[in-house]
Amino acid sequence: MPKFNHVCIIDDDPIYTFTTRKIMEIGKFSKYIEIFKNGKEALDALKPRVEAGEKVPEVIFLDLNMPIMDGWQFLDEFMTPNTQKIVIYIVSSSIDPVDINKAKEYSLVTNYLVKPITPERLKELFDKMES
Amino acid sequence: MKLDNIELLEKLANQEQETKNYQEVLDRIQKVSKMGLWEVNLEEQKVIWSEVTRQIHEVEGDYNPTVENGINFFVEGKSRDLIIEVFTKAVEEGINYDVEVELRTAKGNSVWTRAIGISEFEDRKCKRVYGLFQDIDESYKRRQQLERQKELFRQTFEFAPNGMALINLEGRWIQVNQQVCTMLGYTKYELFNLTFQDITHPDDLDLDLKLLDELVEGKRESYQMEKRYFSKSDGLVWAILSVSMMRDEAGKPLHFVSQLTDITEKKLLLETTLAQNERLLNFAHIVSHNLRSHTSNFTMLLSMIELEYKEATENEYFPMLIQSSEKLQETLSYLNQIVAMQNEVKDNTKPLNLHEYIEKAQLSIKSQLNSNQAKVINKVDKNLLVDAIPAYLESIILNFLTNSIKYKAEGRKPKINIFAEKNPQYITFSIKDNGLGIDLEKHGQKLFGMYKTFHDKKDARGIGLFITKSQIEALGGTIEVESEVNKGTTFKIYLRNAEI
Repeated sequence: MPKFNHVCIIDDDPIYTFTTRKIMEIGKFSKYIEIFKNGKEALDALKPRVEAGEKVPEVIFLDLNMPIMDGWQFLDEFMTPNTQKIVIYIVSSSIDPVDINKAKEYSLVTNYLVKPITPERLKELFDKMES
Repeated sequence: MKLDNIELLEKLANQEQETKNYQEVLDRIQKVSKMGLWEVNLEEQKVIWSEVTRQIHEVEGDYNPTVENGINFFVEGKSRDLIIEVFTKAVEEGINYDVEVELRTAKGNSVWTRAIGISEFEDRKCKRVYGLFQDIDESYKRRQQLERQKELFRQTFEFAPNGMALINLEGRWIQVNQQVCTMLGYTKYELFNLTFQDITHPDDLDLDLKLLDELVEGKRESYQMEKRYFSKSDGLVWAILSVSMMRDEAGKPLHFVSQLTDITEKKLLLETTLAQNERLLNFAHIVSHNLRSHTSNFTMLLSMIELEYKEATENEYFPMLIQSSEKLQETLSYLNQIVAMQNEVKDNTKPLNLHEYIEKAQLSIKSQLNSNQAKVINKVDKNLLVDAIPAYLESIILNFLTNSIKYKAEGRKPKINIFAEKNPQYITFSIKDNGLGIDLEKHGQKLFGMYKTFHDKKDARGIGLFITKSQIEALGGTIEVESEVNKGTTFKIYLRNAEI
């Protein structure tokens, strides 16, 4: 039985999204995994749903550096009272303290994860979220 | 006849009284002006001194010298030579004199006097020389001191290591020293034909003029600014300019006193450094954002293969691929730490008690110390405060302690002595061990490099000292090392003194 119904990955790196999706499928972390290539795509798809009170992802893994709209811009625009229910993790390859500290300023952001996200770490994370 | 005699007697008496009166007045004048009379009667070879003259020479009340020992009162050398010369000229050629000469009194004191001599001739023969002695010691010495101060100022002005100039209220150069000319490339003559406005960079002129006005108006005592001058070759010269104002006794502005320090080279160096820093940060950015994402993909792909195709991992290449990928991650993370340090340090340092941190470090590796029978002697003064980031200071101390244990000598219990010295700017703390030591001639150059190891210890990875050195430098400090093979190593670490 999958732990979540709907997990979303927003990242422009196809290898990362491929491997992460695979790990989630193998580990049966979520029934449905939705992937967006950048912040704009995700915002266009998710924001109307949030505003309409439709079903939205329970967890979002958000990359920071993306073309068209990066992770920060996405966070700035995605913020509505209803989004509070969504758990958002920043997943970035940046270990720059400036990024890490900036992430702390966003109340929506649950944590900052540094790539790579190995199967073990992902499992740990999902176990923690479940409990 | 009788009457005549009486009249004569009366007249004489009157004259005597008058002479007496004159004498009294003269005495008083002599005393007040510290001026004494003297006379040399050449025919009789007799010298007469007045009371004040005697006082100046500090001799008894009835003393009168001979011509010769009169001259001996003048200090040997310049003063005596001069008095002999002018006295001789007065006697032989009738030339009167007025000179300043130094006397050595009977009590051995030095007194500067003004000596005036007038000669009197009869039948082309000098009968008498008379004149005045005036004690001018105080004013003479004051004048000499003033002269010396003037000379001192002149020398300071001329030979100062930085440029010095006097500038009048219109902005013309009144006086400049050689350094100003060297700095700006003009001769003194050329400068005197220019105002400072002519050679000031237009962007700096307004501020300069505003500050000058404030100086004239008495709103400030002096000012300092960085400004650019056009040198004669049209190149720009960066200088720190310090200006103060000279006023007369009534407080009216006289001229400006300017000091110029050439900082052109420093400016250029700073620009280069800033540009290099910028490039380094860009590089760091590429490393952290681009390289890292590729390497993490490698790691993820390898994990996926392990997860999905277990059989693919059962060959000798796979563990090596895993290892390479891990090493790559590790290297990138070290590189990132180093670059991140520079940014982190800026506002995060605080005064930390060195003694306490050394004690704390010992506690955290207590079992390691015990199992190696190692002894740490913390002789650091309990009051010393260094300016550092807590995590860095911990890591620095720990690294040296664990290194000392890791590189202990065979058959010798590790003994680590830690002591510190306080300088105005730095606290130097030394960590001295009795371990293997390092051949600095062979390895000195690469001691602090990344992945440089020179002991065949298994866990020597050559990263500790590299990170430690970077941390020390990020904190604004430096590190030195002294070592002798098989005797031990002393690391000397300079960290900023937090008391300043």
